[in-house]
Amino acid sequence: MSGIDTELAIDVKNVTIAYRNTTAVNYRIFLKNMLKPRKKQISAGNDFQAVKNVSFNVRKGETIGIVGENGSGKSTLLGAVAGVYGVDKGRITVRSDHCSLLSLGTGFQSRLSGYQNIFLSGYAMGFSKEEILASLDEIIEFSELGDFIQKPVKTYSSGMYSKLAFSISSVLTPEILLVDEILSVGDIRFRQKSYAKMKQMITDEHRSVIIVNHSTESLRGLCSRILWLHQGEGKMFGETDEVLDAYRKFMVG
Amino acid sequence: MFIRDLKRYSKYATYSAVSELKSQVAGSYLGWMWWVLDPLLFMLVYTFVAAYIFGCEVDNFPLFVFLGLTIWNFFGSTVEGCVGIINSYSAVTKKAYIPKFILVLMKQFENLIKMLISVGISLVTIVVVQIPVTLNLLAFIPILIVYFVLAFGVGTICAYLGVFVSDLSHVISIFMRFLFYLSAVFYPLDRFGEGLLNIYNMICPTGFIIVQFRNVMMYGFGADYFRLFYWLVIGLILSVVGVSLLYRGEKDFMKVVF
Repeated sequence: MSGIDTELAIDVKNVTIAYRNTTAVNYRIFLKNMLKPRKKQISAGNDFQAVKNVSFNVRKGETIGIVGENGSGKSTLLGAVAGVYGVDKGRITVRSDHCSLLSLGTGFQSRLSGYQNIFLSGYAMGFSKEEILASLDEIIEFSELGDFIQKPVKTYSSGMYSKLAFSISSVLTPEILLVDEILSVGDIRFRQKSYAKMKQMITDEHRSVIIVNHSTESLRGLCSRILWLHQGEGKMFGETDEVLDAYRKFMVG
Repeated sequence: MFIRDLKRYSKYATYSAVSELKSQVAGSYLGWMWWVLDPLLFMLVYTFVAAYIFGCEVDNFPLFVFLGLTIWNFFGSTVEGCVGIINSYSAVTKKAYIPKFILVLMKQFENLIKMLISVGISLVTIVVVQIPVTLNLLAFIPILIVYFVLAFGVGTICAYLGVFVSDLSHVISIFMRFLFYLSAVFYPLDRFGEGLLNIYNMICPTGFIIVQFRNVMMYGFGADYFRLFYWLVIGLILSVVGVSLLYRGEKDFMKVVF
């Protein structure tokens, strides 16, 4: 048993993630609750459970995909693996120092330049200055931003923004890569380039990857296993073709 | 856990603080001159109000006010900045996990650099106006360390509460204004008797630190190490409370933050 466990990069066991109804922490509700008898309280009982009792795992070097309708809890689950969201029940074990969410257009301080944001993202992911410096040229080159790298990120177009985001995460590669809808970045040319890079990163046998995507076809070429979430519950977890076929049948009807 | 996170993410805090300052500089015509001009101009305002309207009589009164403002600004900007900090950095913290007290440290570094520039100017002024310099002056270092710990404690607690109570920023800005006027920034505490002064030093941290700082910088007195230790202990207690609140809240922050 333990022999298999050491092969796992990520192990998610019976995880439940609930969003507190934000009114529950509003002081007006809080004060009202103090006055009301316990039964009538507007309680945390109307929590919204975004992820319910989901289990899956990722072996070292493996790529898995997560599919599901909008609002089925895919991104929340990914955020929990990244450590951004806390888990309410269950346990997530991640065996890596560097683990971060690669998602479109987030994570930058808009007033700072692209150059500074490379360092900030690197430090935020837990890399050292030397590691960042070593990858710096490659990041700037891959992003194709040219002189814009010294301009504040708020002056970037959305395409440039995501090019930079993609370049940072794909060059400063964490051992565990969590991808939230990234496979189409920038213009057509960059899209092809990033897709090729993506594929290269994913197929790297030292890297474990989780991809969240709507496009089932792009997952087919990349993933060895698929987790299908439906309304927060794990509906299926297994071989790619099997799950994707079932998912497609379910969605199309 | 705290030490490990501190080691791992302190680079983030310092780099972020420095680049934040750089971007503030880049965004204005006078750039870093504002860090000097800002306390200088406010010094003129308070000197005018206190010396001419209320008739305060203190030697080197402008310097007296400048030192007060220098010390106050660190605490004021840190605490007010910390109230909404988890919200305003959600772009970063939603992407990768960063312990939230690191954000408080970042804010502190940012304000610390500004404060040290002001302290540097004060030192030059002290030499220029020929205030006798004694070894006691070096006591400003332990004073600022205690001050830093205090601000960290208050900052972490405010950062935690700020996530859940969005009205806190209003309450805090009023409270901070009150604390500012209480803190002897632009008036001496002469009219307080011995007994009242003792109580004051035990309940008003910023006022105590400001008076101590002036004592060692302007008057060549030694620091009141006993009370300094007292405030260090309080600062440490607040820090432990604040940091553990932030760790405990970690589970829910990002779900409440937008």
